[in-house]
Amino acid sequence: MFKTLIIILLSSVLVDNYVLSRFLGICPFLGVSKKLDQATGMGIAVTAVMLIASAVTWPIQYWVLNPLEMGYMQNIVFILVIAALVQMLELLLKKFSPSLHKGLGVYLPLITTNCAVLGVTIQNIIDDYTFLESMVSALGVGLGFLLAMVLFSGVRSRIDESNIPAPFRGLPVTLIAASFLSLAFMGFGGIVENIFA
Amino acid sequence: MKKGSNLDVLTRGVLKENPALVLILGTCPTLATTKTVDGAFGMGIAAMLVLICSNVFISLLRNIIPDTMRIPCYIVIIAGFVTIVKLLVQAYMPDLYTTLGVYLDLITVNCIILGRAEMFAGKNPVVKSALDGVGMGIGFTIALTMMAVIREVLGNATFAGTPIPFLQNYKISFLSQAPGGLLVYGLLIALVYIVTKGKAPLKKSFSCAGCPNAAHCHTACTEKGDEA
Amino acid sequence: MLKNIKTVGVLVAICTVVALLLALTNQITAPIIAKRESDAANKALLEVMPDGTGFEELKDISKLPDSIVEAYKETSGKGYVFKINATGYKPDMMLMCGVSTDGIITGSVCLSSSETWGFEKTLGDQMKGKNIKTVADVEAGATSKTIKGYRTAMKDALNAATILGGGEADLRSPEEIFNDNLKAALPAGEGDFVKQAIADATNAIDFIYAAKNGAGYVYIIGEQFIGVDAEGNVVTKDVSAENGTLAQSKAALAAAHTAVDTTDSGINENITSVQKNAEGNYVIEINGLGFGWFGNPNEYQEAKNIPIQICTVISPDGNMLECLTVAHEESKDYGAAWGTEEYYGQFDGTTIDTYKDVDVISGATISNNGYLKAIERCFKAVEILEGGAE
Repeated sequence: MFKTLIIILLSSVLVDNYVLSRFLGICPFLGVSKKLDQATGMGIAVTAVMLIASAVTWPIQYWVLNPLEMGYMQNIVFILVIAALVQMLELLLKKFSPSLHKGLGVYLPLITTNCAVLGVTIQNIIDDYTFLESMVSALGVGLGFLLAMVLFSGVRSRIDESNIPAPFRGLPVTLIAASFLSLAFMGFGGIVENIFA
Repeated sequence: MKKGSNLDVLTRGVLKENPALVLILGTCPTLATTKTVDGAFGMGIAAMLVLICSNVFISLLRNIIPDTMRIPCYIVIIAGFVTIVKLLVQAYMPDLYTTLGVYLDLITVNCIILGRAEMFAGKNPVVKSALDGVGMGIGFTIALTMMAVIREVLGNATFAGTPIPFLQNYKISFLSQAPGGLLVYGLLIALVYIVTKGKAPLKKSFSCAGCPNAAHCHTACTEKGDEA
Repeated sequence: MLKNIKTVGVLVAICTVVALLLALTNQITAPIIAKRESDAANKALLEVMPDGTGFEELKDISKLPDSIVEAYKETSGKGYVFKINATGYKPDMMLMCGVSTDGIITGSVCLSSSETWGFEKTLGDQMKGKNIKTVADVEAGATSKTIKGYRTAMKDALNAATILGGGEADLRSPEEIFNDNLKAALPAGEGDFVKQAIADATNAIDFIYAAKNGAGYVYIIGEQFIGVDAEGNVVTKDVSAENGTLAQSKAALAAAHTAVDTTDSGINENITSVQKNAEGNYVIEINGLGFGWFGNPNEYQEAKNIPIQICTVISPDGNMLECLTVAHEESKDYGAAWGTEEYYGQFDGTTIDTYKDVDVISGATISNNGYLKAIERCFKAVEILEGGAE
């Protein structure tokens, strides 16, 4: 039981990193990773939203949609729930903790259409995870996203200081640098399954 | 070609404003589903179907949908069509359904679709919106297929699943894995820059401009956004 | 306020319309998707029971042998399909086996395994049509643990079907059952039999076992074990006339075989028996070796441990009249071809000068050497024996 949870956590942070190996949430990854503080703020905000979204969508799927045999409404319901959640979270933060809102809240609207959030909630259902496993997987995916963001912001700050040939300036070099980071993460493949073997 | 004519609307999505290579939208599926030609082509067609339907529907309702509620309305409409396409693919093309997996669901949050709804269909008549959907869809499919051909042929020595005999010993297998996707995409965009002598891609770096949420997202973009 | 209500109203209206559209699509696609999913689940089941129409999983399998993991009943009553956990060299062979209501294996496949040689992947076809009496007699690799495990699993499946049909399980091992059947067919053989590789056995006869004490032969045709004594009389009761005649005529042929004394003749020691048949041709059995991985493919390499049992009929002037692969243990990719008529049939009509011209089956160049060497040794043996006679 505990072992399964650890495996889910580690593999979603390292091996199956949503950004670097499944390309979910690539827009904020490439867009908001220029500065370390931005990257960290975005990463934490995404992790928080993923956790809350998974905690809300799992019961909806199993206690509302499945009994009503309305699995086909999953997509609409999930995305609306996520959008509403994000809005609510922003309002609450604004009202009760302006300082936290300044640090994290600003990234929230960007997250509504972040495919990693919808992705993790749907994937939890596809993988038949229990509620606890879903939460662990959401946490792992979020942490993996944060890790990738933080690492990549370091790479980005180096790129900004280098002299890059004109055709590669901006997007292309960012993508190619991301490719190398992804190559490094590929090295984790096969490790997690064998740690406990 | 007169700007804004029907023909212009149809063709600009294919070349001049190709969503994947010039507008740089829909990055997730571009990277994730281009391991195989089959998957990429299927993804392109599926996204095109959703795009055409949602463009038409949103354009029809553009005068009814209140401005403040438009993003949720758009999302519901798009998610609806995504589910319809998903159910149809699941029923009639099970192989493709297995290949695309969760990415089929994630067409909902594909920026191209929400982006076109926001930038075009919400402001233009039905016929033009439909043509825009067709053009953008074709452009997206072509870009995806092109990338998949490069990745599958060089990375796996196959074309749409058929082995290419003389390449069998020269596979660059990392191209068909995750890092290869990012690399090939980066190189293609650089190529577009060279071919168009720097006029394209329109988006020079990843920033909030072009993001369909930009207008909505007053905070991150204005306060901390892209200073570069 | 009114404006807010209108705004929310539009969203609700759109949601309703979209939900209705979805429900409609779902109505159309749901049955198709459900059918596809059940088809996919039934695919493996259909592979082992091709004429099955539908399957239903049996929940209570506590009465069945322990190795049975899952059991399915064919809904129109044609039989059962079992998923069996078999033990070869490793305890993780997952097999699927279909058994008809009259106790015949309709097919079997290996779902997953980690055996070294991979015989289990090729055994499915050989098991088809066997019943509990004959399940022990599968040609290839009779001594390997893999195959013993496979047989036992098949027997468990057959027993499970018997139990589900209300019968008693047979607790003997497949080998014991088989030997008991041989014993019953020819009691004079005293239970000590050796498998015969008679090249001119026709396709109608599956196997021939000779009693070591010379009391006669047991012919296996389908599921019938037919004992024929040394005088050529059918001794088993309740044998169909056609099979009995066939067994008798074969026995007559076999009886006309005379053993050739090869002591000190200098023929290759891999030759296990030399006989002369009624026409005066040599019937030679030899153990060849396949699978010589390690070495130059143009040279003969003594292989490790993968025997090929070959039987040849060669005329005294050195013409190959018939060649037959009796048994082989080659794994699927390389060696499956040896057992086919397309391969060994090519040697018919060849001589010591031409036997090397046969088409090599692609990808099989390595163990081809072992086969060719065996053929060469047969030709050489005839030369020696004929030369010695003059």
